[in-house]
Amino acid sequence: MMFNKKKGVKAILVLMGALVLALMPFSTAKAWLICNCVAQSAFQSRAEEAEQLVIIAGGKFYEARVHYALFLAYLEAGNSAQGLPSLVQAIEALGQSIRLYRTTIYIGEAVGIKPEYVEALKKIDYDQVESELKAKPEVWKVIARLGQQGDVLGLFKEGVRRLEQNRAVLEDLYGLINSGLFPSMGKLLQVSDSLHETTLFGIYTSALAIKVSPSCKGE
Amino acid sequence: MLKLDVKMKLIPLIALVAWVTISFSVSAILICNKFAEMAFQDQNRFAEELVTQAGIRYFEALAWSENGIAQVEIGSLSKAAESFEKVSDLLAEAFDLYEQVIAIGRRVGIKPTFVEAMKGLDYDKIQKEHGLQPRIWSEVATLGRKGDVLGLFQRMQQFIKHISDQSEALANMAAKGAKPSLEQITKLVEAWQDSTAFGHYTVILARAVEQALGR
Repeated sequence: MMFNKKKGVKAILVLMGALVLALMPFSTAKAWLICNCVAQSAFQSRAEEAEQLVIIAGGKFYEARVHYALFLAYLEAGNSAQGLPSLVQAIEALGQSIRLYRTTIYIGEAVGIKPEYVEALKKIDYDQVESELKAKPEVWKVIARLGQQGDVLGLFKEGVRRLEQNRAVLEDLYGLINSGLFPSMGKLLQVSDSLHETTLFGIYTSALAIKVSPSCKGE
Repeated sequence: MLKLDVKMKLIPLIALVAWVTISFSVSAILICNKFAEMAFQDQNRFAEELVTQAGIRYFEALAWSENGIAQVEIGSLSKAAESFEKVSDLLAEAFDLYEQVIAIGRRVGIKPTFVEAMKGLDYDKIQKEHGLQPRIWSEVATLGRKGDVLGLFQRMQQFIKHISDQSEALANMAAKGAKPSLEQITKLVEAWQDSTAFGHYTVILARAVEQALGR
């Protein structure tokens, strides 16, 4: 049974968490967790290149979440000052993610969107997909509105808006801690909810893209 | 314009090393904290220390879980498998630490004044004041209205076990080179969110009891 380990507990405990991320973009899109499959299927050209940017951007977003979780570990230990570098890294990773999505948007604007993709996006039964995904309504309704308008780049822009919001709440948190203040539980809940909603937005967008282009799943 | 060589193997290496030192003097506040310290009849500081250690393990596991998802996103399934394994190991430690806290609580007993203060709170008012999600808060409130201090730790264990089981399943899949489904990842992400919210809400409850006791 895995939950019966006996652990010696001492006053001072030193934990080491070494997380190594090796982000390697692929020339064939296999990722599908966050805003994936849209650029690959919808862009008139440079689709693979754009999809790779999206994959790296998604990796950067989760990297930000890794750093934020480590920051929480420090905070729980009462070492908020020691956790500040993790918070800074989370903010930086979000910034990198934002830049990558913006570049994807520029590419999309430059090369154009396939009209048949736009039509397919408009024709999706959004209520049915919402039900299948058991999607959180407040997140899904934004995706559905953009999808019904066939606004492919709008999906990426909404992703950027959410990432900017994530970064803003983390910057607020940084400001508080850097001033020697301890964040309220309300502030921490705000950050957690903000990151979670962006995660769901990314997952739902990928799920939608797979509905439009089932072959994009990369299986 | 961005030029990206699609053949390029880009390997940004992110090595995160967390050295987390727990001090007796600091009161942690993120997840299930303050109950043992305020409610236990004896050994309360020691029990609170265990709760803090469990919380650190929990957040470290969360970091590995996010790392595992990132690895899935970029298609590195073997690394994802390692990360999800690590999640299970760390959560097992957190589970055991809460088990020890519960055992201490059973042995030393809970202060009746604390239980009464907990039962007497206006849970609806707290939920509105803090804008808490009704679904998660109702679980905390149900235990709180019964004055079930140890039940809060037991519920946290259930959340942990649930996430650990999911992580093990993902680790096994990824180790075999099978990509987890979008649904599985969504469930994992939501399980973490619910569990963390539950932990945070218990701290809000603990503070409300503290206030009611006039501390």
